Amino acid sequence: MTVVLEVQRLNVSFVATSGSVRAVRGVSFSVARSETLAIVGESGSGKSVTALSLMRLHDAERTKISGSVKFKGAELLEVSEAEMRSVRGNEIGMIFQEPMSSLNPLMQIGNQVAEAILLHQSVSRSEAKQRALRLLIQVGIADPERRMREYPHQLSGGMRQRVMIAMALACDPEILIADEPTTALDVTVQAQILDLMRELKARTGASIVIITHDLGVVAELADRVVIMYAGVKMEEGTTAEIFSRPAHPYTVGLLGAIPSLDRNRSEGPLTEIPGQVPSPSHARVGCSFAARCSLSSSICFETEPELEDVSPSHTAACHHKIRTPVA
Amino acid sequence: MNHQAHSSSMAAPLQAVELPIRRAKSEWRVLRFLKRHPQIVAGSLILLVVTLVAIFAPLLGTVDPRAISVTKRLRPPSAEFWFGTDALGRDLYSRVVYGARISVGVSVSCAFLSCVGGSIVGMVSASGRWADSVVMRVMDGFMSIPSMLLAIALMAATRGSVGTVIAAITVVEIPRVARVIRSVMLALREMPFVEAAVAAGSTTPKIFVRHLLPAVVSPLTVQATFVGSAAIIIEASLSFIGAGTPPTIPSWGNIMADGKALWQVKPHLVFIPAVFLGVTILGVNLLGDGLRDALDPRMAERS
Repeated sequence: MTVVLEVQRLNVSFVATSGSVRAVRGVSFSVARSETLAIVGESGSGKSVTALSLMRLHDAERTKISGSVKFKGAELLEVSEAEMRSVRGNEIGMIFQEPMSSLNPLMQIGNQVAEAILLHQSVSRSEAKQRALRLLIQVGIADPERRMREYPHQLSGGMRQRVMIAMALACDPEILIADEPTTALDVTVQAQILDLMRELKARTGASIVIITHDLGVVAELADRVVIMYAGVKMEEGTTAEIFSRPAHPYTVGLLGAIPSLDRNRSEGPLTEIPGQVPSPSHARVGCSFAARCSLSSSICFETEPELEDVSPSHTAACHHKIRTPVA
Repeated sequence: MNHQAHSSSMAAPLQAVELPIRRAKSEWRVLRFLKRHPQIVAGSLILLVVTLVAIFAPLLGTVDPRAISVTKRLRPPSAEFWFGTDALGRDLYSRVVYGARISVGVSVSCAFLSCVGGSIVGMVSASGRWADSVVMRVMDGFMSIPSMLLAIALMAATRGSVGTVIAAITVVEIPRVARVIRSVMLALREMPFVEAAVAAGSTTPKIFVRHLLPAVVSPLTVQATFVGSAAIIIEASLSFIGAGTPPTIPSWGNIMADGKALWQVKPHLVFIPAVFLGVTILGVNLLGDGLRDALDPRMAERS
């Protein structure tokens, strides 16, 4: 499998007047062609910050990014702004969390999609419009000719997210980064959007990096999963490994918190992880999850665990890895 | 949005889809829009009449508004002198009609110049933190002085002409426009759709033109009408106290100033230009309020 995107030891810190805040610490992962990678974590775990760093969308003045983001051999953290622009939207497409406000309220839908095409391809405006219409048909917008001339406020949330997907796909990107694409949508619409993403991926062969806190989305869509906590990668493995043989107590906690219709009352309430994500501005020693972990011992508070292999495709950073025998 | 329906439509070859792009019935929309906003209609009609009067002043049965005639002083309104004559025997009707030129001219130029200047200042201010603190403090300084006083001071420092009146009013009005533009730009800059445009690979100038400027148009239009009406009032006030348009040029403020000594015996010398002034300002304000309501997104029609 060819690796399209390789992230190594990515560090992101925000510079504030009161000192800098490390939001992402040494995160590494890679995305292969046509693969779907899910980055999962609670709010504040640094998953969205990681996604924005891949596209260099942070305010350069207030953000320090170090490490390496290699896209098809090019080091994205070092290329010029002009080169970066030719990557954004063209080779890496992005879908945002807020379909309500991610579209310009004053621009007709057709023009917005056409704009995404015109930014990277030298075609006439009318040709771009025709392509925009085809894209809208592809993402399943009903009555696309009429919708082309409408404004975002005339569309439902699900339709707006479809438009966003159409814009992200406008230039046939190699990678689609989706930052919580279903969070702001109704459950039924979520399912439609996930179906659509799966269908488009099968057709275009693009890789997908999906940022989410919804393990249901992960199970539906992802091939591989990266679990993040407090800016650190805790565990990585194939979706099957993560769901059936989680090695990190944090992952176990996340999985235990998923409600299920088949659950018996006798199983008691859902497990929860006590406490909350530590603020990234606090200095830390040891494992950042130690304070909330049921398996923590003194070593957890003293040394930060290294990522270690559980299986060739499965790594976890924990002193007390849970080893489930392969069934 | 039916999932089954869209997957079946996707099965069709995409290139073969017919693409008829229909035109909206724009004339109906315009009519419906005007029906919903009678203020805009009323304001525009008043302004249209005043503007036509100003443009076609020589064709409206006027004589030279500066021609003095000692023998025809202080005539009451008659068939020959529709509004009578003033203390120097000048035809009041011609003076009022020509005066519309000054008011309309000053109003339009000040509105245009203040909007251009205010937009530039507001955008510069919104574009950088350093520029912001410096520029906005200067603007606050200007705004802390009452606009009439500032205009009088500026007039006193220069030679009186219509041009300097326009310049003085523009300087006074720029900070107000700049503040509005700055706040709109600051709010827009943080909008997710701007970030989405960056993520789509758009350049800063393109984002500016495609995403930021269109959003500024409606608050700027509303602001322009307010500046326009303020400019008419300030020009008339400056002229009335003798600090504005040179007295040789008939402007509504000058005509009222000329007539004020005889206010008790010949009230129409003040009253007639005052009515024109008041109705014109009413027109601008009606248009401004109507536009503000119509362009407010919370009141925008949803179809």
